Amino acid sequence: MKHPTTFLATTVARLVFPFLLLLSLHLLLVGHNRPGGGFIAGVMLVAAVALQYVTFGLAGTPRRLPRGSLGLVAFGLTLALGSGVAGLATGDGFLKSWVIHWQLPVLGEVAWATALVFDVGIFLLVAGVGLALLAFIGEDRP
Amino acid sequence: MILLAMMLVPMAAAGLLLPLGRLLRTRSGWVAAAVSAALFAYFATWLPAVAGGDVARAEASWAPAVGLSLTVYLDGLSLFFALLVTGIGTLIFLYARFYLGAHEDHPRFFASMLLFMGSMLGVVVSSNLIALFVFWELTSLSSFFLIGFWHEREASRYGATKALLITALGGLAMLLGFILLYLATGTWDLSALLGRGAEVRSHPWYAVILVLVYLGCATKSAQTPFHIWLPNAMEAPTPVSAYLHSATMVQAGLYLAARLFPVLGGTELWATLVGGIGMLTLVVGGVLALRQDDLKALLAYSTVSQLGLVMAMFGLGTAAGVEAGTFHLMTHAIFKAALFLVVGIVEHETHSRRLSELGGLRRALPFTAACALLASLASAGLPPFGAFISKEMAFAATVEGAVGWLGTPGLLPAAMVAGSVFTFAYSIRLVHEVFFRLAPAPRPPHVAAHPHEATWWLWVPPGILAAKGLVLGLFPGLAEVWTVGPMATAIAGRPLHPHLTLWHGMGWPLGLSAVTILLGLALYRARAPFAAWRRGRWAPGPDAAYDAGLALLDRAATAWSGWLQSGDLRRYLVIVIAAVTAAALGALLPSGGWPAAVETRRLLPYEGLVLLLIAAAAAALIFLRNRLAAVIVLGSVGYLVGIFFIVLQAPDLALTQILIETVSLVLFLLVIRRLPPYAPEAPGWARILRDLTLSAGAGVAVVAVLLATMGRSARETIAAYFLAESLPAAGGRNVVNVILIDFRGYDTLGEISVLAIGLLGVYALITLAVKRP
Repeated sequence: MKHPTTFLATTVARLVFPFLLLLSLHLLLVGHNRPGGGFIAGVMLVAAVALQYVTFGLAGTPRRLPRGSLGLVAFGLTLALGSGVAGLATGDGFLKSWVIHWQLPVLGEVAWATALVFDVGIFLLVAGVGLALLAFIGEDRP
Repeated sequence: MILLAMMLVPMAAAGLLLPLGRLLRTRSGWVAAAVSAALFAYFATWLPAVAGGDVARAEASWAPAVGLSLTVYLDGLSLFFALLVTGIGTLIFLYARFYLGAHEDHPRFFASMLLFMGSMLGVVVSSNLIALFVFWELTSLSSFFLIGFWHEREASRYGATKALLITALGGLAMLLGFILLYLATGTWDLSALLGRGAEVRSHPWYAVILVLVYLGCATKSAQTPFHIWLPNAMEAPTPVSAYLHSATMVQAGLYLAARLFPVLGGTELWATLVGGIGMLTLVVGGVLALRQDDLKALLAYSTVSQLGLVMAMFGLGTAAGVEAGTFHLMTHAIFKAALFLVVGIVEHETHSRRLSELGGLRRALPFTAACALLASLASAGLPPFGAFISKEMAFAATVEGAVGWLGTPGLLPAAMVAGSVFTFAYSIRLVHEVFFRLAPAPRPPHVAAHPHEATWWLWVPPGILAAKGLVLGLFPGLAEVWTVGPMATAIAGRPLHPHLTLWHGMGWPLGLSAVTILLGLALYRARAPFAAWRRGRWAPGPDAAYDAGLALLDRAATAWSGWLQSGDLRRYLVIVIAAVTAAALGALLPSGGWPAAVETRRLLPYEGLVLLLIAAAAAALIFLRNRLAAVIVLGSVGYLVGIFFIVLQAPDLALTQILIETVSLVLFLLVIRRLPPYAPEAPGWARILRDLTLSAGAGVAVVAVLLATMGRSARETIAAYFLAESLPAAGGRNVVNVILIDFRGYDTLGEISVLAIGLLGVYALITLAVKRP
């Protein structure tokens, strides 16, 4: 059965998809200082894929989605856990975060907290859970 | 610091082995063996320092505020166990590489083995009681994976579950004991506890602490009546039985009893529990071992019996007991691992491990037979093996006596001789019936007609172990200086200088040894009644109690969830909403009702408009009879709430609310596709009244909670601290995000773990539901 859709929907969905992904990345990176963060960015990514899904149907989304997203979940959890271990090595305790200042050629001074690694872990995990749920529930089964 | 990192190496290797397994396949065993050998070499470099009386210590804080840390404490006792775990581990990994067939899942096997090795190292070097407990339960968990390695077999699953339930429950009792110990002394640190034995023993909670901690030791080290899990654990691949269930994991209980000897030991209660039950286990295990037909079951019961012996030695409360227990722990680990490996070869080459089906294998398997002979004679306690010396020391210790009633003259030596007679008989039976007597005729069809000697990779590891048993007997001075001396000193908490020698002179020990050998030979000749006994199953016993208890639990759980979880979603909602309402109102009403001072301000017109829309949409939802429409209206309520957050200038909340609403709307629509058509009947007055009451109650409860929270003054809340510290301490201007990923990172870690586990549940539910025919 052909997936019922409109020209307007497909065009818009195709056009905005890359921008939604960039927005998701943006939300992840600025989260420490402005609205955003790993959880929001993860859900943003899921919403972006959901739009593709609603517009193009299952055929328009990669077949490998469920397996791949389970991997994302595992990797995200490992990253979040692993980010805490650095604090153990220095004796500051699990999940300790530091602020690091970098002098970069074009951007000037960039300050970031090492808790960002933890946030990236959350991002991957949340995105993975959402994508997997979409794939599991959306799959065409009798 | 290096010491601390070394402890985590096996875990890291296990984590890498799983993803790299596709590449490595059967080469995984080499990686595991290399890791193990490197660790053995590393720990061996500590021998001179530790033998000289040094103690190594390293610490990494985990959560300093609550006294949690990873503390490594390496003295004679810990170092011995570390060497045992890595040394025997290396041999077993090499053996297992060739024992497992090429088609089996090598990466999973060796990853579980490395996980176990890391956990066991963690148990023996941790000085923090909580860390010790975590590693302790991790050994139970990895044992569960390994017993159930062939999880398609019913018996494997039964054995794995039984072992996990018994040892993990014992571990929980132990945790309670540790907590009481902490409350009594104020420290989680074992090394600090070691010097405070007198204080702990005179504490009013001493008896409770001892019993709880002992339950942990007894379940892990298979003391009667908790020994029942060990024979079922024999469903594991034989390298696992040799490693976990004879040489290392089951010794963890012995380790802890030895470790806590200076803190809890030496009283009459200690002697009764540790010593008395240990002696009982020695005899019970020996008797049961002799009546087995399955070689691995025989070895399992013999392990039970020997663990009982070592435990009993620590239970005596005397220096002689500690010395004997220490050395026997060492000799037993070595000869028992060798025997298991030999049995593994026999099964591998003949496809049988039943005594009634085997015989005369010394010609077909000459090297294996030689290993078996050396290990069995050691097990029987004959000279010139190390186990002969350790047994003589045990005889001497029992003659010397014990604390309390256990020291009644004659009682201990009699029990010791009884246990040793059975030990002698089954050891001789094992090697004689399998390798030396004629093969039974006719040969059962599944037994190989012309077995061949195994590849040398299989018989060299038990050969090394068997030879080691001989070396210990011929040159006991080596063990005395490097391992047994420092270990006994660490256990007793004062310098001990055990004297190990083959020739103890004429005396009680030698006489008791001679009696044991004579009675053992006589028992072996008259073993027929035991073989007959095994045919009649002994119904009432701890095994039957375990099965009955589990069945009862199963029935109770089924009845309870059948009542509570009817499968009707509306019923669940009613229960959840009613429970939350009752909890909120129940907590708030008695404490004085509404808070007096709540800051208020006038509602702005556009705020009122959004609120009005929300209320209208929610009200409309009640009257909708079409699912699709209802879902979309519900979504609009969510979006309006998001808009309200924007109005209140809470961008993080608004973003989250709107995104979540979007995703859940899509998911909701996908779920609706699968549901049967919706045809609700008109609800009766009773239903309407119930729902109205429930809704009104829930609304009142939520408002009450909100008012109560807002009524608290800022001084009581932690908000001021977060606002002030967000930028200087954590380098972030978005306080919401800083709280999530830094200040309360632990909470977030817990939440995302729950999310991942929930997804696994959904995955299992959906894939399993589809696979079912």
